[in-house]
Amino acid sequence: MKKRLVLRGNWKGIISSGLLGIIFIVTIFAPWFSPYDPYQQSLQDILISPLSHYTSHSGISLLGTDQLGRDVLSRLLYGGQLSLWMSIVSVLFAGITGSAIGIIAGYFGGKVDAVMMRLADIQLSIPSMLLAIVMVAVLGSGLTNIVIVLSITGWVTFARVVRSQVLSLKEMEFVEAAKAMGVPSIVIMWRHILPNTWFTILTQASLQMSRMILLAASLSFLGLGVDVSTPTWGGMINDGKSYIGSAWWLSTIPGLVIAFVILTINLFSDWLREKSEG
Amino acid sequence: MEQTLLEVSHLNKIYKRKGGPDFSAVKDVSFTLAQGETLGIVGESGSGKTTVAKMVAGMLPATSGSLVLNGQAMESRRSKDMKRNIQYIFQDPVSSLNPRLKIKDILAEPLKLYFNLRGEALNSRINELLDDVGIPQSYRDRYPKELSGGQCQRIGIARALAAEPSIMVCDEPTSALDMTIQSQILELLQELQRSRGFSYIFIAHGLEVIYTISNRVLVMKQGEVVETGATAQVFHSPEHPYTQTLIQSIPKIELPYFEY
Repeated sequence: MKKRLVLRGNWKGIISSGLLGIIFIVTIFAPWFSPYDPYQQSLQDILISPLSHYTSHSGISLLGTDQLGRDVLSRLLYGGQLSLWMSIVSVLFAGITGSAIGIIAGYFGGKVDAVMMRLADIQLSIPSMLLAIVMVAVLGSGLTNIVIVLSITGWVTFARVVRSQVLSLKEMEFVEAAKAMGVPSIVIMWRHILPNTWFTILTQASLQMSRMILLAASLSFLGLGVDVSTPTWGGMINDGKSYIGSAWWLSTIPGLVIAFVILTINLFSDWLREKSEG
Repeated sequence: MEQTLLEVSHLNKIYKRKGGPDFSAVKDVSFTLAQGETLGIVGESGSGKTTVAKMVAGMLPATSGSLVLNGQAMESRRSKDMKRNIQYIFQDPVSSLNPRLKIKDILAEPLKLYFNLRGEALNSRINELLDDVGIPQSYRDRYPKELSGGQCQRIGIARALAAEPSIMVCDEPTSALDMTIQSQILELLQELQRSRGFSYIFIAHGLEVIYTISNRVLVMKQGEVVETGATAQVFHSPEHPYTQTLIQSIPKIELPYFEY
């Protein structure tokens, strides 16, 4: 009876974390799961449709091949590795700096708050895609630069959400008690405020992660991402768009995968939010 | 007359208002507090009781006036020792404890801060404090939400006790609790006073609470002290009309009469 109640209340969490687990395992261990080498070109097998046989060897291509005869499924798995890794690292950076800024701004208030929040406003007034394009143009493309660009576009949301929660937290009596005791500000922020914003930060992080995947894919789609031959989800959509009339699977399948992963992450963050409220 | 511990004179708190006259929350409040004495502060909501208490505890800066503790003037930036000497007990026992810290960590905070206790010394002191307030030692690893309101207030008292203060400011410590728990908490506070000689500044809505616990009473109305004196004298022969209405408004219990 109790078990069924647990299941009913947490179906979102169970389904989404299960799916996310599968996605992560399959992409992290892409070399084990992908049927072929993602870089292996085969001119005899250009643009063969899903579930058809190779002519060069006896294998089956589950999701077809691209214009250079590379296996789409294999590229999808390797590409996921890179896309997910980029988004996780940039969410980590954006989350840490954004939350720190949010806590400091919210806790001290006054001028510190005003300066930091105006900075956030300025950045928020520039569309993040535009900012990313400009920064890639200045810094140059490449994996590290993409991660830097993604992190810079992401911190504002963390800062704002965390700040607004800190504003209500610092009026709580336990914070007042610590202040009256003479506990140093840095300790109050670390011990009393940060642990009470965990849920918010975590929820925000998962939402941001889906945004990062999309942004990274958009950058790759525009040709501003990592190296052209390296598979990324956005890059695959870009590569496939010229063949959309004859080979629908090239752009459609990575597009569906991105949509599916983002949906799963959003389901997960939805569950986290429900947990934090209840 | 016992030794004077705290001397508060001409305390004022003025809030500036945009486009209007300034608002005085507390006007020219003066009182003294002796060693081992309990001073009750009564008055309606918004009469400035809590503001006075918070200024005494250093949680709000006073606009003007002076506070002298043990012959030493307290500046707006207090030394750690002065902060240690005046501890505050909050009205809402649940929100005064950080929900993400275990009981032992909540109690460890003042012990580390003021006495630099670590390891085994810290552990045994936490156990002593739990004994002092009547909470089983096994509760040290629990979180505040696993405790009842009364137990949370006991932890709040233990946290104040940990600082070994000479003055405890109690801001309606029982008003969020039900009647039976209220009297237990009051008994605990009285017992601690007997054994350690604390002085209390005790704020309460309920006049019966003030009557049982305090030696002297300060009656406040709209930020001003309207009457002060020994508890019995104020309660039995109130002079100010406001005090008279306050005392008349104490609900008298009339038990219904049953005929068998």
